[in-house]
Amino acid sequence: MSQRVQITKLPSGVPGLDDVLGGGLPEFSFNLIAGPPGGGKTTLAHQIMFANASPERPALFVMICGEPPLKMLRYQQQFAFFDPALIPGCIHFLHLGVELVADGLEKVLERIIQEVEATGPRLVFVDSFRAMTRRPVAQGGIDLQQFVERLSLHLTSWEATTFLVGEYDDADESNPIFTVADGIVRLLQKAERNSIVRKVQVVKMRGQGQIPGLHTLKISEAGLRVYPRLPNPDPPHARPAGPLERKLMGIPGLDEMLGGGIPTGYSMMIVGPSGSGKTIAATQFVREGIEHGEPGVIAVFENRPEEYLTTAPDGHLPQELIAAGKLEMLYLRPLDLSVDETMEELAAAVKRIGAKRLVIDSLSGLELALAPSFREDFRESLYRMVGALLRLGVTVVMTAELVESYSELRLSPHGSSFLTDVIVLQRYVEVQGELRRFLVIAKMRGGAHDTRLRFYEIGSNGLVIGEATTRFQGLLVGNAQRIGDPGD
Amino acid sequence: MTNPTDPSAERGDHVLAVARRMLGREEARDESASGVAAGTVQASEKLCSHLGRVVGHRGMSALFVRSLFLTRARYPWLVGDPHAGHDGRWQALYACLQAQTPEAAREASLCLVTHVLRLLGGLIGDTLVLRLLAEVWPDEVSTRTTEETP
Repeated sequence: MSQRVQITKLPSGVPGLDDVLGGGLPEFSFNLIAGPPGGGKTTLAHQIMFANASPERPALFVMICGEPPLKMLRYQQQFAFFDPALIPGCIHFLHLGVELVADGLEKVLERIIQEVEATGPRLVFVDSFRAMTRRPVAQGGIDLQQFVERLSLHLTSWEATTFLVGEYDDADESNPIFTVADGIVRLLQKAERNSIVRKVQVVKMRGQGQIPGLHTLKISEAGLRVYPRLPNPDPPHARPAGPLERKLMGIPGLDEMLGGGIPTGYSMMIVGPSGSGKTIAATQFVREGIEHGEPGVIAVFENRPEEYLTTAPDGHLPQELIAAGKLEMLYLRPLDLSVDETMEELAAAVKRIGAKRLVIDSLSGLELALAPSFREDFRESLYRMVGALLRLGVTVVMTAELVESYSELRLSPHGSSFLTDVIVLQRYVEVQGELRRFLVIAKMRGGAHDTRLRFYEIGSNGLVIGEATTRFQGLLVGNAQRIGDPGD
Repeated sequence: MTNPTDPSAERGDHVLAVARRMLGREEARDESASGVAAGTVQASEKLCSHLGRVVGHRGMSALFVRSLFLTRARYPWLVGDPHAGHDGRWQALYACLQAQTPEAAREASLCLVTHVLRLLGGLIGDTLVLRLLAEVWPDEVSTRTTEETP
């Protein structure tokens, strides 16, 4: 009877990457880290090395041509993961000059083997491997395929997990390294207008199921961080029979219109023009939750949090709520965000305070904060993000600005009305020479609701829902007429 | 403003003390100028060879040339050809030092090695430099000194 070999998985040290890899880096595997110059290859190699190097698992970092080691060490030290205390006890650096490389691959192989035998590393990095593949084969020497096969065999027999670092692209896929490698991690970067978008792809990782596709990658002072691509949401479950559990908005009148509040686990979009009170309604929703012991998160993409708190209705969002861990404000406004990164931040905040309510204010701001390439598939990304948020167990309210159009009834920007369960539409209308606001519940999935248009005001404590507009008609087309009055 | 030709002025006495102990170790017991010169060449060769494995031999060579240039501001007689080959450089350094009094040779040697360490420390950090030096001169770079380095 045979037992399956259990492969130990080493942590990559890169937040998010282990999930993409399928659990981590298989021990004793032979891997390739590929990507363009400036793509973060060396940083990734170092991050893996510093996360794993220890007296029991020493590492050898072999530098071949490429970036001068003096500069590489200088700049890599700027990352938080670089720990000089591990050098030289746990991490050994070896620089192979151009002279040795010029002598042929066999000499390079001999030198690496000699160092491996001297230091007994469990992790070996060769950076940049590309430098060797560009050299002609020396007279009587070994070629690249032989070199890679012998290196792989030797290092595996020495129980070393190996990483070759190099500048490879799609055109190199016939390269023998791609065949021999157990794992290939490809880094990509693309400049778009004023933003740089970085992505990572695990092309292969033998023996385990990686998450396919391209995942957003960020490089900061902390090092690399991967934001795994959001999965497509599960197909909607059939709603349980019986009355829905609901969460009050904290806006009398609107809660009645909704049939007793927003059903728990639903997503709502409040859509309207600038100044119509979308943010105020959203903050009332969060405040109402906090008053009933449900922490809330507000993700702000336009105003800064401090401004946000001061513009909220009187007493609605005092700073003390944040200090007490009942409210978390997220301010996300770089111009190269990805939806995956946004999702990660939102999910972390929700888990930190055990939030039950989440506000995204606004989708228009979120779209602006995204890098251009992510805006292209904003609708699809939003669909995946809302699905992922609801799986966290929060009830979501999103705001979206909609430019008034009196020639058509639009329910949302981005054609995104399909992804929410509830849509509250706010509009301006001229009534007898006065600018007034009205709202209507334009959509409510699976629940009875008030379909009437209702005037409302914005008071010092938030939205005040008024009478139904039953005495008027033509409001939606901007031509309010008192019923019974002759038209123009 | 610090004086670039006085390496001890920039980073206190810390690197200077390590350099002094390193040179003292290599000088053996011959206190003549020739003994100082031989010790300095030996220390310099070890330094470049060992750290060159990590930061690259070309990098160490460039730092050594720059250090010679800086040292020459205070010791103009240190005229060895910095662009000479590997062996040529050490021969030139030895010739310059052994022609001086033992005290002058010792001072210039200390200045030279301190410059190398200071330049390298400025690029990759004193902590890392001292950790690498400790592989060759463990007693001269004590644990206590390494831990105190920010």
